[in-house]
Order: sequence, then C-alpha cells, then structure tokens
Amino acid sequence: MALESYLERFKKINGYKASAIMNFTGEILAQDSNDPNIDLGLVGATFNDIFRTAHEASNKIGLEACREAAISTPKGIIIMRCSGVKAKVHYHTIAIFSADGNQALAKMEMEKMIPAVMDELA
Amino acid sequence: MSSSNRSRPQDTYEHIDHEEEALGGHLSRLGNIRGYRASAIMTFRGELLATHAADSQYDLREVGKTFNDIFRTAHEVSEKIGLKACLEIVINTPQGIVVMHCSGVDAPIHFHLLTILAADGNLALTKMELAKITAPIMAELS
Repeated sequence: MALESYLERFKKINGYKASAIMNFTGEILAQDSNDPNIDLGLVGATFNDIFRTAHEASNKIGLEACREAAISTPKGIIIMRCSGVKAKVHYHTIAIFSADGNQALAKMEMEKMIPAVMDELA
Repeated sequence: MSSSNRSRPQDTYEHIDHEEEALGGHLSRLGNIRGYRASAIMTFRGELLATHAADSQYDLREVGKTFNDIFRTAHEVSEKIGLKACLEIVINTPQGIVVMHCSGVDAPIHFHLLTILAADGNLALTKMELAKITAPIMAELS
C-alpha cells in the first residue's frame, strides 16, 4: 500500500488541513494537504527540528525521548508523533488541524497507523 | 528616620519574597492533580519567577530554560506558517508529560508556565487549571 494512503484517514477528521510522514531527520516520505498556504516541506522540516529538540530535552530530564508533541495556537493545532527512537523504523508523522479540530481522534489514528507504516518502511 | 520609613518593605526585599510566595500559591493549585510532579512560572525569556515541586528530582532552572527555548521556537514557527504564536505545547514521553502554557504574546504580561506530570497524569485537568491561574498570575505580575 502506498504511504499516502495512510494519510487518507486524517482527511475524515474534523478540522484537517495537512499531514506528512517523514523520516526522523525531517525528509518528507509522503504528504497530503487541502490548504494551499501550508508548505509541508518547510513546515515539516521546521517542526521536526522542534520535535527532535524535545526528544533530547525530555531524555535529558529522565523522561525518555518524547513520543508525541501537540502545539496549540489560536488558529490551529500541530501534532507530531514518533514511531519510537528504538523502533525498527524511526519515523515521524505531522498533522495540522484548525484550532477546533478533533485532536483526540487524530492522535488515535496516528497511534493506530504506526505498525502498518513501520512495516511499509522496513 | 520615622517609624513608617523603617517599615517599608523595599529596603529589605520583603516585597520580592511576598511576590514569590503569592506566585507559588497559584502553582500549589496544580499540586492536587493526579500525577503532578513540578511546575514553574517563568518570564517569556525563561527566567524563573516561582517554582513548586512534589518531586525534587528536577532542576527546574535547567528544565525550564530548555523547554522554554523549545516553546519560543514553536512560537516563531507557528507564526511563520500563519497559525499565530502558539499558546500551549504538550510533550508526551513514556515517563511523563511536559506542558508549556503561554499567557499570550500580546497579553499585558507575557509569561510562561511549565508543568511536569507523570505519564498517566491528568492532562485535561492540568490544562484547565493552567488556563484558570493565568489571569491571577498576570494580575500579580502587573
């Protein structure tokens, strides 16, 4: 199954704007967007940097590398999810929603798709 | 010197102690939340104004500075993509949750709140309490 098909599930979620699967260094492997103002190449790479810094910071204080980061702004929500730094494939997913988007459902979908995406990338 | 002059707190920095105590009082509200570990109030630059901890394993000065840097970068980036500066970042790890909350970049006082919870801590209640204590902290700092 093409990687893009995994991003299809986000499209049904309320407030969805864009999503991407990246390797852990921030290179885009698959992407989808319904908002022409979002440059996923730039946004993905930038938020991936934040996420990797958060990995290091949470590790440093003894909480282990972070699995998820949710950034809320007045106009939207950015969710980053990690497959796991020790997983067989370490990749990141980013999804962007409007401020009233259903982030709980988005997080559940991100969690659910990890094994299948990992198999695809292995 | 008159007795009223001698009792002025600014000569003894008592006013700073009182302010820290009051700010710490707001943080103590978080102490009842399930899984609560530690919290801090910082200027938006990351300087500590008050701390409160149920768990002394955290060097809140260091932790605060590190997560504040992440938060400020997130502010800039979310602004850059047209979502306005972020108000909150929640970082989930296998061993805990770090929540950073911003009073607002355009608020009369721009400050940040840091909270650390256990992995199974009550995040929803934490977010609600953080939103509730923002206004009284702002009033205290004004």
